[in-house]
Amino acid sequence: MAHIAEPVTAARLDQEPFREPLVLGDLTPHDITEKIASIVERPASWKYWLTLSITGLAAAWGIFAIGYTIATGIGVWGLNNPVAWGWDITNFVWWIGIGHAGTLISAILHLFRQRWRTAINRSAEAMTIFAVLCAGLFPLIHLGRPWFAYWLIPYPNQMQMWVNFRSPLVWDVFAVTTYLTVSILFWYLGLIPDLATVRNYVRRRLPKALYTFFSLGWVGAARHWQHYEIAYLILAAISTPLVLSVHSVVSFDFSVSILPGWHTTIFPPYFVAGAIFSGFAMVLTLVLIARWVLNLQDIITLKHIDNMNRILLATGMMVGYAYLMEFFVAMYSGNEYERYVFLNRAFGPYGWAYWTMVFCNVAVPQLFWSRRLRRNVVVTFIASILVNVGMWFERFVIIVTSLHRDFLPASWDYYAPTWVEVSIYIGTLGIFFTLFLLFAKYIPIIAISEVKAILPHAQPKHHVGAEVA
Amino acid sequence: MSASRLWQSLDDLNGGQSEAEVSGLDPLPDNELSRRQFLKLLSASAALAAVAAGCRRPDHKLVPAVSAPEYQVPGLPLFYTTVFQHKNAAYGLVVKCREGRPIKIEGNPSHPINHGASSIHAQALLYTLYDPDRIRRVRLGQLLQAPLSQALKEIATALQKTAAEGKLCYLCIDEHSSPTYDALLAELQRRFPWLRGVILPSFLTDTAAELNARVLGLPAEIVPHLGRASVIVTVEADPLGIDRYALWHIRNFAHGRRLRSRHDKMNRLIAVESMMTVTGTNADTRLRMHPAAFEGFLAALLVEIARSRPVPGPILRAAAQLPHAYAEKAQQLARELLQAGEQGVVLVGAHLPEPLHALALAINWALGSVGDGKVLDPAYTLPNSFPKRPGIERLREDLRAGRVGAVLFVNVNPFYSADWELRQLLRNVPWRVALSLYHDETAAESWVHIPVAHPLESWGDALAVDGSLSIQQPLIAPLNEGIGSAQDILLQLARMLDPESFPGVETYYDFLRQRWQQRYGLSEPQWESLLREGVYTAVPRETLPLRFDAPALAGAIRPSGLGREGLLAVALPSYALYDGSLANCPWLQELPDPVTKLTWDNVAAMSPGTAARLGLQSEDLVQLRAGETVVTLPVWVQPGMADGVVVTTLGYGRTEGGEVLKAVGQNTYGLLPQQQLGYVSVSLTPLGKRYPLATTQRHAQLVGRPIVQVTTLPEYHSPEGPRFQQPEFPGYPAPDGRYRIPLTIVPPYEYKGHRWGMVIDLTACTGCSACVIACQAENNIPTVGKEQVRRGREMHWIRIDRYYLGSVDEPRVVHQPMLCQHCENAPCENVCPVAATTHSPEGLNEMTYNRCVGTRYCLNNCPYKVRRFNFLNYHTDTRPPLEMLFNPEVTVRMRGVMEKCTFCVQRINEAKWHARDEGRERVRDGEVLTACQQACPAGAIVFGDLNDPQSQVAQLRQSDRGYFVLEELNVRPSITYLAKVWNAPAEEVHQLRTA
Repeated sequence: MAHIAEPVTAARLDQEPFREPLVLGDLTPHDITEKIASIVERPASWKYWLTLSITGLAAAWGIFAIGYTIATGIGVWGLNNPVAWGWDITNFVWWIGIGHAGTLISAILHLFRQRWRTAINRSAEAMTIFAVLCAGLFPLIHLGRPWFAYWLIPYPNQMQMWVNFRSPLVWDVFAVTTYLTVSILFWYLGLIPDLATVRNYVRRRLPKALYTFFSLGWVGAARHWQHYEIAYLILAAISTPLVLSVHSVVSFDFSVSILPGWHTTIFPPYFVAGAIFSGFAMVLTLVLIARWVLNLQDIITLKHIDNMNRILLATGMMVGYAYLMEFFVAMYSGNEYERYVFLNRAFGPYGWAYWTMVFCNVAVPQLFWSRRLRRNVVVTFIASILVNVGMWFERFVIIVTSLHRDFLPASWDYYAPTWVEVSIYIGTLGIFFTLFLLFAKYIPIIAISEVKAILPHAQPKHHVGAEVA
Repeated sequence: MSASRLWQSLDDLNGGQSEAEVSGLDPLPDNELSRRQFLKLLSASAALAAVAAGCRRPDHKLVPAVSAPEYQVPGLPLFYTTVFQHKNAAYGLVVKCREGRPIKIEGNPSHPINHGASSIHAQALLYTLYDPDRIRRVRLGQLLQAPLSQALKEIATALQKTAAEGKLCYLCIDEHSSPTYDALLAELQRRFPWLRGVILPSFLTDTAAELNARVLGLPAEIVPHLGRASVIVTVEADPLGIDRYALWHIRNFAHGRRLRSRHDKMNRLIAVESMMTVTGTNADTRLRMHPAAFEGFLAALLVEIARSRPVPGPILRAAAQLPHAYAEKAQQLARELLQAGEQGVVLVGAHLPEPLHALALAINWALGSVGDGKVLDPAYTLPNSFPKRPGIERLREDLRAGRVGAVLFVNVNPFYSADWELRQLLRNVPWRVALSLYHDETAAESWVHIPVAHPLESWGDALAVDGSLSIQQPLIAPLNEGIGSAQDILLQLARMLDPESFPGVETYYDFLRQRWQQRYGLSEPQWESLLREGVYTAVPRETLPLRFDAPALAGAIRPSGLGREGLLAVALPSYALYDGSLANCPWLQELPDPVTKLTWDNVAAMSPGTAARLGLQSEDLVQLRAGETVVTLPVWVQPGMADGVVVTTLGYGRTEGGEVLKAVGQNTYGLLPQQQLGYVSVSLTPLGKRYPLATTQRHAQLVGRPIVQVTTLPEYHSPEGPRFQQPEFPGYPAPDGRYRIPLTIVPPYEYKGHRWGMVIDLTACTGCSACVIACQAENNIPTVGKEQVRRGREMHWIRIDRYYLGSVDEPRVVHQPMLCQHCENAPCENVCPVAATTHSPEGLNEMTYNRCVGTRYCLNNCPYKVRRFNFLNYHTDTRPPLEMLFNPEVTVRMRGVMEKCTFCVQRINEAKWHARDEGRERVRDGEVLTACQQACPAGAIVFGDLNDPQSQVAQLRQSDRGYFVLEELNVRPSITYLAKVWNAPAEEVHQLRTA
């Protein structure tokens, strides 16, 4: 079994002289522990509290808007007769998409032995969980009668009513809950050695007790490590198909319907590519902030940023291909409804949304053909935000432009959100960043044990790498 | 004693012992009633009986209709006939009552005018009955809850004082068609010489009656019988729209174009108009024309007709002197009219000036379409349609001279609709008394307001245009704390003024019975059968012999005075609210106008050309100034209108009388020239502000989609048949051989028992929207208000989609009723995660409200977008007694729940119970009528069992005009549409197809 764990613990590849080291600054394992675990121990700066209060306020405002919606009805949103889904499902798909990068980084890159992932996988996983929580909120609150949301779960009941397994919304329930469960397990499992490190590091009594509890008695024994590595690998293998399945299932919400613009076979791969695209963009946004605020330039290096930008470029082009393909198929199909929907997307009343999407998702990533721009933190930061904006508009365009003008022109209408929908969206951003900030403060934001394993110090021929550096 | 022994009575069981003996009770003392006790009981029961008898109101026997059970059984409906009066038009109703409360109004199938159909206004009557804004207590000066007797006493005193001063008392009533009401007024005026009755309508439409009086010696309007016409030319007449007898006209018109086979004939409707009327939208050929050209056009037409038909010289000379316009069109039209002969008719809008009426009368007379048994039959004169202006002028004179001491307003609202001068004059009258349902503008200006009973709460009668009489039966005790109808109040007042008056008459019911007894000598059983049938046709009809005064007619043919300069504006009764008396009914406020699809507002409609010239677009606020009057209205750009014309509607801008009508639209009565409907020239000032309008249909173009299929009669008759724009899809023939089924790997579901389906004939549908309100009443559909309509959340289960074909200036219009198609492969069903919408074995797409969680996925996936979502709790503001309005057989939906057309499943189930009770396996054809079908005056909707090959619906489905909307989606709708056929030259529709 030991050889399976080899990719993580051994570091043969990084001994190659032409490889850029993954950790800079000649850090020792102790430095890493100091750097990461001290965040928990030392008091947070005023900047932290300021940011937290802003995000907390946004979260509270969103929760108020949610309460208002539930108390009054979906009518406080801007939805109308043809457009029965708007910002709610747009946000749902957007958040789910963001939640994709975590699993991809943790599981797939792990299986593919992409060891640069160690610097970012923890925050990516955390981001996944928070994003999926935010995403899961929307299907619940967008119901006309959210207090009956549990009817979407098949459970034995006195009504002898079963869910309708033909409905993609039921598939969604399974896909999203499975994904959330596996993501939490994966994240927590990877956390255990680091929680133990922090447990050893902190001195105050209550935190120590908590970290002791959650580190499940980890002492770093060889047996522990062996079991841990195997469990981690198994979970990675379980999660990998989820990366593909969750967003495929989410795309079925649309592709299974008969609505022109939704009823498209390209959706599953298109949605998965888009999800990875947006997920990486969000990881970049978060990591660049964390890197700057927490001084992690040595651990999250330009190489990481470069790698992630390459993924952005690749997935951005996949998404662009899908946009083109949709048009081609619509024109090629000879179906006038289909043709109309796509022409209307680009040149109709929501044309501005369409072209925003094309600019952000197709044009902006083209910058990253240049190595210089890939390694430019400012450009990357702006691009990552633009990609997130673009991916939000992609979902908006798919959902709203298809609905607002479908088959019978008599039922066509326009949709614009109300302050409540905007507030709820801002609220979920608030919830997301609040959770992330709490995470960054109280949980090791970098996978300490994994980073230690890729230190030049961890290499058997450590001095060779050192000379190169 | 074994318990298992068979026994038949307690005595049997107990071996012959009585129950008392067994239970151990003492038997009752045998005969211990003493003389004292006997007398006590005797006197007590006598006193009780006397009290009970003395307190009871006199009973009037109500007789349910024949088809209904004889007596009330809880849970079973009772049906009563009554009559509906829309001003001076009347038609029969059958009202469905449950547990003593009316819950649905239908047309009376035995009434010769409507044959079971109903109109939006008849349907809305039910809402006004339960309207929470109806006043229940008498207001006497500042005293808000005065007893009626006190109010009457004070009114009587005031009237006596007025009479003693030698002053007049005016009784202002609205237009009506009740002969007994007329008799009551005549009797009152005979009894009290100082009392003068006057009909004070909201607006005057005297022109035709005045002309008829001079030319034909008939001081009344003749209502055309469109069933007898084969070529109908309307000059801004709107027989299918705002006409009071629109329901009858639609029926007759549709009758003349019922295409059951390729060889059927069809009438032809040519609309000449500057505005877009409902009639214009149904025209086979529509001629857009500025009103100034009407006289020239009609004169040219008359001259053309005179080439083949004798026309008296003076008339022809007068017509020849007018400048002719559209001569070529007139020539074509004359040819058609001459071919139709006495089946041709020209109808002129009531708002047009007399010369145009005169020209039309001359044409009709020349064609021979005036006379007994003809289209314009003097037997079909509109009751009480004599010119009203003389009466009003006399009122004005008396008011100016200060001769009027008191005015009684009975269900009229001059303080809303009358001109400024009349309002001022009325304000100067010392005693003003209002008798009305609502505390309206006039009630607010009156000293006393007596809330009278509703037509569904009071007795009366009405004369229909064909001479049939109907009795108005009360269906429920008056909800306004038992205050009687206006007629009852007048009778009480008369008896207070003069106890000798009206001998033997306690109430209006007595008066009615007495009069009917005297005139028609009905025995008690005959009276009962009259109530049961709801219509009395054995009335001898008094028709005057027509004369034809050619010089008088020639004298009326002169320039119409309608100019081309500037802007011409006209205010017409609105389609839904009519003159504004129905403004507090949200059903009508939210009913999309059949042409503009606007709700909750009136607008200044103008052509796209005029709007472009003035730099205006829809929703821009403008000021219209006509003389002293200034009206601020939002612009509505209406395709198909002539340039230089602004059309607005009356009935909006009410200020008093309810919560619903407040702040809805603008009062446009000021635009009427001398209270008469008619054109005025206006100046228009853009205000540079915007005003949001709530329309239910924002797109009117078909963008080339085969949603409505259209053809022309020549093409339909041609050997090749119509060339419909068929959608292409791979498929195979359906078992019926008529349709094709798109390729599928799923075997079709086999319907064993019933299979419900519907056929909608687009050629018959005029867009009258009676179905919309009927559905709303039947299915407890809420109104949502302007703001929600603007957001696109109106709840109507059936809507009428209105499409414009062709150019924006000369569009052709199709009305397409759109409702749940009850698809066999319903796309809504498989996407519902909780199985709240499912398919029934009889082909219904069913909605289980209490299972619905409101994901709205079904709505997204519905290609027809006919599902309606309760975005908010639209029933929260249901004020009492509106909850009595709800149909107890239909669930009232809460917020967060999806709803949609059920094909009136409650009616289907009821019919199935009846069938089962009678031992039948199947429901008979025609036993289930959906609410929309029942209301439809055109007979455009047919519902029934598609599995019964003999049923009407199954046979109509085989029609060569039949098609499914969005057939290529393989949803397989249960509703078949029959293509629209225009009786117009084939080229016209070819152009549309290529355009």
